[in-house]
Amino acid sequence: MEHHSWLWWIPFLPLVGSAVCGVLHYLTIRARRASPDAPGYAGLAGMVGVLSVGLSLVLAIRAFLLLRGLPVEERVLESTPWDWIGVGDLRIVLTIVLDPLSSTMTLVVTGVGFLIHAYSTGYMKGDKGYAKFFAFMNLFVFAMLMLVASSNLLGLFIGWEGVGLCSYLLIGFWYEKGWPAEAGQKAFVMNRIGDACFLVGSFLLVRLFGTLDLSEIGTLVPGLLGGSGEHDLELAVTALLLFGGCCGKSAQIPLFTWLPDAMAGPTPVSALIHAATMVTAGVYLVARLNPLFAASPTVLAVIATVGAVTALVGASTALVQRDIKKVLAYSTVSQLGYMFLGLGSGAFGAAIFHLVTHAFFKGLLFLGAGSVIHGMHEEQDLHKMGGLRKHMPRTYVTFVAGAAALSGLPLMSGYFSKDEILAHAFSAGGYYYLLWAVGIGGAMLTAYYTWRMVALTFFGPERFDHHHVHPHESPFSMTGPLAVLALLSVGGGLLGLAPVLGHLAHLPHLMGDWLAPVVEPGERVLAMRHGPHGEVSHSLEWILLGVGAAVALVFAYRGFVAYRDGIGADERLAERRPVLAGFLSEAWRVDASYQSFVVLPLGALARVTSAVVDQLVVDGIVNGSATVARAIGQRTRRFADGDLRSYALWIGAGAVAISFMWIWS
Amino acid sequence: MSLTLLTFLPLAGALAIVALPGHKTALLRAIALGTTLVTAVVGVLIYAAFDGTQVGAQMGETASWFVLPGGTEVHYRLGLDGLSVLMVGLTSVLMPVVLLSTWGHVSERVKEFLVWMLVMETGMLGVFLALDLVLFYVFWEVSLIPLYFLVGIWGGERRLYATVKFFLFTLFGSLVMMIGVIALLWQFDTSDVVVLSDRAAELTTGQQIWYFLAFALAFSIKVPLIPFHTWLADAHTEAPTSGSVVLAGVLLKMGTYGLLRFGIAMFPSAAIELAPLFMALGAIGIVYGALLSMAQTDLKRLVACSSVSHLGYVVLGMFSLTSAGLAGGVLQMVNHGLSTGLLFLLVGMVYERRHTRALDQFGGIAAVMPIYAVFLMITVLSSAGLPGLNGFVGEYLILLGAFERSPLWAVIGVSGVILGAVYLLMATRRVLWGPIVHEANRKLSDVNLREVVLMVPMIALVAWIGVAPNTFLHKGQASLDAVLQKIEGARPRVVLVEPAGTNEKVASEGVGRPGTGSPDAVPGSPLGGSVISGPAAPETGR
Repeated sequence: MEHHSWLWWIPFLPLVGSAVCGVLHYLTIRARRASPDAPGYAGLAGMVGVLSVGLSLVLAIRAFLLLRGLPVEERVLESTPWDWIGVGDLRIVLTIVLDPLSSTMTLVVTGVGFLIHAYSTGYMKGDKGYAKFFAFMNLFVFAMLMLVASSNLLGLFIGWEGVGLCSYLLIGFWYEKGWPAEAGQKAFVMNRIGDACFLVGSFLLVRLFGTLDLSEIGTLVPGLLGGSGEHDLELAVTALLLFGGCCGKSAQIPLFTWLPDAMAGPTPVSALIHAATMVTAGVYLVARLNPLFAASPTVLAVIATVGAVTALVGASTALVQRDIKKVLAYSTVSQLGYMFLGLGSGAFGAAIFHLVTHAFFKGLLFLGAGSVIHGMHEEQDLHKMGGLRKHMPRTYVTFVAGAAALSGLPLMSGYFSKDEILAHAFSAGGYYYLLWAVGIGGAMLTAYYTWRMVALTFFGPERFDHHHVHPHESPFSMTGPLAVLALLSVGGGLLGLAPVLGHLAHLPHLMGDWLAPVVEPGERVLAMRHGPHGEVSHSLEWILLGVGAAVALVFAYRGFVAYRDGIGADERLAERRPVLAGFLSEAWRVDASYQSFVVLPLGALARVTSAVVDQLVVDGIVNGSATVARAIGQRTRRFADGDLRSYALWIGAGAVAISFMWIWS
Repeated sequence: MSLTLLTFLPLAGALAIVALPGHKTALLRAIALGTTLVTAVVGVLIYAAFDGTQVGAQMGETASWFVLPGGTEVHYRLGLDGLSVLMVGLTSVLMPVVLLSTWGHVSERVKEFLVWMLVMETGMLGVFLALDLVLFYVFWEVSLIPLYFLVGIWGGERRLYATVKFFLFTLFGSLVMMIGVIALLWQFDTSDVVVLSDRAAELTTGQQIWYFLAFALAFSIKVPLIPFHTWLADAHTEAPTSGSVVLAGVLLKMGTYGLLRFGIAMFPSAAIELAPLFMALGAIGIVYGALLSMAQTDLKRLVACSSVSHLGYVVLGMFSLTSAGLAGGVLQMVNHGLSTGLLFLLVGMVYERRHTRALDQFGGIAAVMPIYAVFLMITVLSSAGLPGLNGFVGEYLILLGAFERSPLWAVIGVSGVILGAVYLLMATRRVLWGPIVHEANRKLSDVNLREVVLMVPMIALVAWIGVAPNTFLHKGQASLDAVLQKIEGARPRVVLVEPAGTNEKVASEGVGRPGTGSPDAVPGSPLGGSVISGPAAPETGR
């Protein structure tokens, strides 16, 4: 363990950048008040925004190199601590801690973040909220870095809610349109449902362990497992509640419906927040607390089931979407499902590996989609595209690279990371065979919808209006990041070759070895609870790899061929199976049922509480007692009418009554 | 720096204003603002000088005042301890902001308005500083009277209804409390709060409960705790902006402060007995207030209803009788003062520009008032408990403490985290975002320098408490620990003697589970055995 106070600068640099961009936005507004077309300080804001994340990336790389130089079991860097909250026995200390897992995450966040910021300087050019955009994006990077590098669960929660806030602000970036603001609000509230579970989970952690320090919790878990198992239920409930938080943030069933709506934000936002980083926070949390989650087989099965079902629902919904960003959004939901399937199968390292490759290829696909939308004058409807490969060749080539990785074509990054997850699910055996089958089914759909999207966008007849739309290639500021991400999407598999292939190529599983010290405690707990993990034999591994490759190739081909010549296949589906098409395109009607079973009843409850309970009943009693008091006052006024004789009468009556009571007792 | 100086500076300012002619409004305003600024400086110095590691009152001042017919001596006695220090700091810092905000909305009978405001400040500071029961009661009433006039004269259309309702509610509570005060004086022959706090703990639980309820009624009305909350929305809606800010910022806290000092700290056995009831009322209040807010169409009424929800947190935390809950409750009093105070200021600012508060009259304001949008956003996030800002620290500690005692009420309280986001973001969206649909909104002017100046100190505190809450939590730590110790000492302890008579086990009830401490529950325990009263609290009967 080494101490470095400069680690704080990894998150703080983007925070400073955010503040500077905010000031620049204010100055721009003021300049425009004087003359509406003044450029203001927009260009400067773009530079500040990119640079702050870039410097943060440099520091993250420096930390990574330092970490790699240390012996495996000592790979932890710590910053100076900040005593945040101290009450009674409870002490919440914030520290930036980099171990192999956090270091991986900081590299992804700052690396992919840097590319997306650079891309945004081109994409957002001319937007009147240019500086504000970078202020929010930098703030997001700050929050995300706090999330992945905090030593304490509440420190993580600062980032957790912080990224939610930035997501809210950026989804609603074009708030004048109305619906983006509603989508942002929906995202925030649905995340809050998960966060409420998260909070209760943290209370249980305090009760169980007396601390919220993440590494301490990890080391304390095994101690609670022995004996008669009196803590098993509490541990399981705690893990499930925290997983509830993950469902919100990572858009899993039942809380996934906000993510497709979140596409209302600018496309770089979708790439950074809603594909590469924020939505993977839940995966990170489970991997971070892997001993806790490994402690309960039931919890793992729940996580794996939720993941597999989400993967299937997301992929099937993506099949029929017409909006290119919606295809990618449901694809993200589905891919996050795979990550949770991996976590639930006890493959914590594989889930993180898929998180990394997904950040590359999904970031790339979103940015590519953004380039298409940019070149098509804000058109997002796949049915109004087609034949774009001639108009935007660089976007086309890189997009195909991303699509190959997403669909898991052999030797692409996504192929290795997804198949590793599926192999682990398969080797877990029993119930997990079913989940593996669901995962394979999802993989078929994934390959199909991916190449449908590619065919509809870049091949076939040009279905747009040539008089109004003149597709053009995007500037270098946008295609440059696309190229880098394309290389990473294609070659990212080298980080984690399948063992049999690695054996052939004399390459170790880089990612697996790197993450080993972090996931090892969880694996030890797993071994304690479930007995030794089923080993996959070489021949079985070859078979699984072969199945994965075959599924991807066959369905990618079918998807591509079906849509190569236009949108006929979509029209046929809508014609022959309108019910199915509607059901799928509305994401299995989950959102609609929330509307009728949660949103509307809650609104009605609020109105009834206000109008009936509060105003009629509670206030009615208040006003009623006032009326009664007045009535009594009016009656009793007669007793004090100023007539001496009636006073005498009452005094006499009282005296008689008292003497009676006295005699009686 | 003396507490007397702090308390009576505003009154001195009020007297100076009375002596001046009423038409020189600029001068009067300057004097009033200057008075509150000087008071704020004195208050901050006193706050800084307060040593949070010490138990008991500091900077105490005593003088004999008068003798009651029975021979009981009543003293003028002020003192500052960990229960009051944050509230004194908040009151003195908030008042210049309140005064400065009146530039925007008080133009008639300015002189009277300023006088009432300053008198009210003396009353409020006195309530928090008084350590003599009679003196406390006097200040309590002094702080209430000005609000009748502030609402009744400078209020909105239904101001008379609101004033009468508010008056009757508080009068009812005050009268019952007066009975409690007189009974205490009669029983103990002293009005010294410190002495009373020690000796009242010797009363039987049954007696304590009667006293507790006599005091708690007035405080619960003030908080307000459901079902005594219906005066609040009316009073807030009709009050002028500055009145609402004081009401939300400080006056409501007199209720929670009273529950803490004259309830929990004075009658610990009663507090233990009644804690489940108050936790329930707090938790239900959180949800109930949030539901009310969701249904409102008037922006100010929405904020007013949210106070019911937020003060529910405070009560829930304090009556968890845990260190986290108490500390969180005390901190949340300050947090609510800041965030809801800011919300009322912000609502007032759009009202002064648009002369309406109906939610459907707004939309798209962010485009024309960007600075305003930033301030409103930060305030909303503070109120919604975003980590990194003040509200989160208080809410988290409260819910954590409540969970320790009663998972059920804590979970119900946690649902307020969701509902809070719903109504706050709904209101934000309807005001700030979306297209501009009403032409009148198109040419609204953004916040001016005065408005920025009055919000910046509060926003700074919002961030400060969020990032470094320990600075504030430590001020009250020692005093709250002492209260907690007293509570733990008063918990009914029973010694279980095994039939064999060899093993003795001391079981302290109520730790880690929601049950009320009642010895009757013990025979059902798996150990069985005979029950005798333990040494810690000889009298646990009712």
